[in-house]
Amino acid sequence: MQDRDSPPSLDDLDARLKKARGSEEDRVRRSEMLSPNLPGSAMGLAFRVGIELVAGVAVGVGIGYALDRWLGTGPWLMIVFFFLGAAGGMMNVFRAATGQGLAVGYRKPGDDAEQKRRGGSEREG
Amino acid sequence: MASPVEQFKLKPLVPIEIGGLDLSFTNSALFMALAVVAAGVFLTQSMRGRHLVPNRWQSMAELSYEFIANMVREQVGSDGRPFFPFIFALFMFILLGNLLGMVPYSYTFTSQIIVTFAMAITVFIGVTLVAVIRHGVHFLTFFFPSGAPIYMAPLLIPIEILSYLSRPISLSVRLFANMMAGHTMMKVFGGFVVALGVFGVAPMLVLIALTGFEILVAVLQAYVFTILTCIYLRDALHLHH
Repeated sequence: MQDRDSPPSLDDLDARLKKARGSEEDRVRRSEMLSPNLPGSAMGLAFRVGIELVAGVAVGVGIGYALDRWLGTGPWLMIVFFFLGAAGGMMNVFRAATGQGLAVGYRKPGDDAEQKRRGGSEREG
Repeated sequence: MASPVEQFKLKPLVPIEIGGLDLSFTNSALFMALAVVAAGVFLTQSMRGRHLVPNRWQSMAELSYEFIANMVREQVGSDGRPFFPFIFALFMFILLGNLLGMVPYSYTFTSQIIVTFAMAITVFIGVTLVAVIRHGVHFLTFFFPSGAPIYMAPLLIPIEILSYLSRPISLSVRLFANMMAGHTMMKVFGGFVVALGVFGVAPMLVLIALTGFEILVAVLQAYVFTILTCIYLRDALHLHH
């Protein structure tokens, strides 16, 4: 019979908690599974892509319209910014679809995983 | 019968007008205050016992804390720690706002575009300031991907800037649209139940499923808003291409 009058030490408890939660790699893998494509479902991705497209166009048209009113340049800046905004929105969709998350720039998905494994703190440049 | 969008109407509870501005305390403001109070009470009261082996409430509080702490550590990295209080507060505020909105006769303040936009633009401006303070002029390389031919710059830079500026819009519209669409749909099906009499059982079943789904959406959208904030913060702290 084990003597049970002293509670288990905190170190012991900590070790058992760590063991129960699984190794660090398990958790990183789980978080990678969860994170880049957020809601995890096809519908979530579709919803996100739709919003991304509309937001790009809305921002472009809004800026173009404001500049037109300010500079009095007819509809021209609005037209230009409509296309730029649509391109920006499509770029965001492209990033979302290729798993680059919502970052600006053109990182490869492999890069991202690599960087996450290194702890994400020594990433610069 | 009330229209399905009746529920989103702002009702001034305490009319306040200062210098021609309508600053009334509305039902929306009331539920924002309730969400803050609920978050405060939940976290302080459940942690009062400080048990080594947590009871149910303490476990819930610890879980929400650890969930966000892990998210910040994994998404932002170790230098994201100073921002943890802000991100945790943001998460609890949105989560409780969404969940309080599921209580019958309550008001969902996250179904208002101006509320979500205010939160998104705060995150956007804050994150941009962090990037400018940390990196100075180097921040501008954010808008030109390295390795692209230089003659593409006149086209690429405006597109990158616009796609950057669309972040607060997509962030706020995502939360707002999800909450508003879900609550409208629930009200529409609720109307069917009343209108169809005995046959209202069918929409009733849909409504039950929809309520469960809506609670899932409430939690999920709070999570999505928070994790996107973390991702933007990571971009600002480590400019990378």
